[in-house]
Amino acid sequence: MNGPILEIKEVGKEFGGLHALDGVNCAIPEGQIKAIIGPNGAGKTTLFNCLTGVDRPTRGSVIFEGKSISGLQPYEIAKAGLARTWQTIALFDHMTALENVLVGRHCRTSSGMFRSAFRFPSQRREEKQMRREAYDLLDSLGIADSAGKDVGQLTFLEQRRVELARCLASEPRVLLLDEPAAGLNTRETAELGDVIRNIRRRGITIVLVEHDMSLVMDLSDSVLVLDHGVPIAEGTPREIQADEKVIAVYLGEEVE
Amino acid sequence: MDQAAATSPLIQYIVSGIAFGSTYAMVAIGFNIIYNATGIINFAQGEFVMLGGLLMVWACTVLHLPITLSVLLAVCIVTAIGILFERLAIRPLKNPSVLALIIITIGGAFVIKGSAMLLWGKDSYFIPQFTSEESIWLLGAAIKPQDFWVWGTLGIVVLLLSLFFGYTMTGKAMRACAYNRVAARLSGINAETMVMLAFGLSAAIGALAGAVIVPITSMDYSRGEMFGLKGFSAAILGGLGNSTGAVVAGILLGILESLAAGYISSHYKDAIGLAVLLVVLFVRPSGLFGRAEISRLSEF
Amino acid sequence: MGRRNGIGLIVFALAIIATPWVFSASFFKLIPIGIYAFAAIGLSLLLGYAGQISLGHAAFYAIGAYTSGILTVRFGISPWMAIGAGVLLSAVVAFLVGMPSLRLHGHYLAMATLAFGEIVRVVLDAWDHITGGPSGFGGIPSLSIVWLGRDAETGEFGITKFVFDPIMDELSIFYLVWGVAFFGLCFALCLINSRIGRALRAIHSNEKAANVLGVPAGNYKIKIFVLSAAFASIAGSLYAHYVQYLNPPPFGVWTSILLVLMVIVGGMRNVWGAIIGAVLMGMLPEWISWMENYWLVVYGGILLLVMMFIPQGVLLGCRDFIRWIFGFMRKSQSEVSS
Repeated sequence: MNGPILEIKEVGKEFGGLHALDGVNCAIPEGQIKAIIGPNGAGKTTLFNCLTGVDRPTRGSVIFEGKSISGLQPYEIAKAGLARTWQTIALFDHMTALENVLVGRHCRTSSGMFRSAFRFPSQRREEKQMRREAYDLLDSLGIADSAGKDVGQLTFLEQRRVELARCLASEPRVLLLDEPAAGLNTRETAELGDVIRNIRRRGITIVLVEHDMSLVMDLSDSVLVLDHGVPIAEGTPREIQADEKVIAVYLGEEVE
Repeated sequence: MDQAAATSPLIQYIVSGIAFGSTYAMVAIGFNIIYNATGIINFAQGEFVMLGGLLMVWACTVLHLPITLSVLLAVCIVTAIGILFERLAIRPLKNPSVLALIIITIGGAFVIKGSAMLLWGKDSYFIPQFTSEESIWLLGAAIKPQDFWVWGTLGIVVLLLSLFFGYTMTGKAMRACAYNRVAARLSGINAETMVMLAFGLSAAIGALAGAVIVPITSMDYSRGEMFGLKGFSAAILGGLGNSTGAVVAGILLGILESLAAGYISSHYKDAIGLAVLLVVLFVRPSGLFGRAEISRLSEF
Repeated sequence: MGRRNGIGLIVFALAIIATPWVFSASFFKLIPIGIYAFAAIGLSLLLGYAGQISLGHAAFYAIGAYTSGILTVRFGISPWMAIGAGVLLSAVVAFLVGMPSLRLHGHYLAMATLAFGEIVRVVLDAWDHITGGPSGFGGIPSLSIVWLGRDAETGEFGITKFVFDPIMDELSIFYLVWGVAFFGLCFALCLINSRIGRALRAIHSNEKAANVLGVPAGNYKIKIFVLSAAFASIAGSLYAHYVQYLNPPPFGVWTSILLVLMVIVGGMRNVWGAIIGAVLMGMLPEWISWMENYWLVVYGGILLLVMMFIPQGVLLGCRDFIRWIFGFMRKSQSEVSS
């Protein structure tokens, strides 16, 4: 049995007295797809922000591969092997798809300012290799044709794929996906599901925040339900679907 | 003569520092109003002070208007310029970046400054004090009657602003915009009008500061930048967006500068006011009485 | 670096070589512009690539110039060593000024550098036993190199000293200055077409996302600020050895704004823009000298209008315009044929 690669321990986050997260506990075994669901305002994105160092948890700690990462800078966490996508796609504009993916390679490459500006042979080699790797990644996600296009010219679906490629370029051990299916139609969502499964096959653990329940139930090994920042249920998709508390939260008044 | 013998330099420096400090405080309030409404730092803020001062001189000496009318005229013209600037240069931008806004307000500052140079040349101007030229002696310091005018103006500005922001619908709407622009817009507040109002208001305050300080210091086309920078120092020292802080910080800055000029060297007077800015940014970017948000940004 | 940049560099090099022969009577006017261009390249890295604005680059320009001037005149140190010392001093100062303000977002660097620029100007005026105060000081030596060539005095061929004498030999100074600018451009182009350059552009576009992706944004912002200060410092040193006399006016806030203007007009997301902008803005006083009294308004107005209507700068602006014309023509053609 794989040990947990990511452990969330008693994490809480307050914004000016408001509890966005309170006592969240969760252990994510390596190689799993873990979904985090909950109604709007349940604290899912805040949890991602706490995991990636965008926000600092007020309480608790995050353990990644046995080491605490709470308090680290976002770029240090990325280097440790945690990558994320954003609810609203956060690609770098005025740059091509390939360049966006190359930025993802940044934390796995090392040529500094001096070596870059004077084109040292080691830098040329590294540059050549990272270009090939980035291109291959775009190719594996089926968007090699768009490599040279400015990301502003891409379709929404292509942008999502570039964002995924960019994350993968940083060689994450855990990938956090924040509502990847938002704005996609049923067919596109199904395609996305295949992409996510492929990513898991590379040995990458996935944490998924998603509103599309069919995608969640289809993909995930285990589901954590948050409501008002508090975990209310955890279990397999089947268990969650049958959980009365979860149904109450989602359906609200109708149960009462 | 025996009065002069009894002067206490320390108190004298403090007194004259407060007058300049009050001006910085007013400029700082102007920065805060625009910052709160839009998130912009208006680099043309100091130019409003310069324009207010020069227009005041013009109204008094060329048009021979009485003091009150001159102040009114100067404030009205500068307010109109502030609003015009917002309409012509800020509003047409769609989704402007912070960088673009900085550059545009700098461009605006230079246009205003250059126009002032064309109208008034490079000479310095000043006018006699509003009431009497006879200084009042207090605790061994000579207080110019104009000092009272400057302090009084600051007092009135603060009073009126707190009434405006506390009790009028428009003022409350502006505060709502400062707190959360999106939410304010959703609840039916016209954010565009608020931005225009903010520019008008802070131009008016800047002009007022310029108009009452002219009798103490002379004014020329190039003075705006320094007023702007010192005002910004005060705004940062008081915590950007916090106008009570700005008043205290502005006066502190004025006193500090005056003491430094007196005891160290008048050459370095300007440098000291600005060094305060750098030190505050270094040590405590949220300012003496700052709000938490700004220091939170420093985490990155 | 890309073929297009390669061709551009060759054209640029040829233009530098040809200019003194084509404009033999007026090429000397481009010498100070070359100095500005070099500083503008540095600023363009900061402004256009890292998205941070400095309104105090004249201060680093001043530090370079005065360090060169003071060390060579008062201490008799070799000009090249003095340039190095200036760069070192500028870098340290830039680090100290940049660190606190770059940690914060938005306007802080702009205001901090503006204030810092004013402080330096005040110091130049007030610290008169070192800087010469408002009246300045002169006698700064020319730059010289040791090379294999004909001696200027004896006419003998061999290892000899070549002096870039700005009075007797404007041609050599022209080539020196524009050679340095050319080198600066190559340096910048290499840098921005590398992982560092992409990281900077990512920071400009979305700092938070760049950070989360593993780009230490704060770190890079400081590094690039220090680098651009070093560029300004070298430009200042070149100025000192070219004019051979220093006083405070060329180092005021106006120069800082002029540098920003050059970068913006040329197009801030493109290093080539720094060269174009420097030439355009530098030659402007020549072209419309009758507007002398309107300088502030003209420059301020240009800054405003360019930022409002062609934020990509004139270089890319022209390209976009030509594309638009072509697109328009093609469209009307296809309409005619159908």
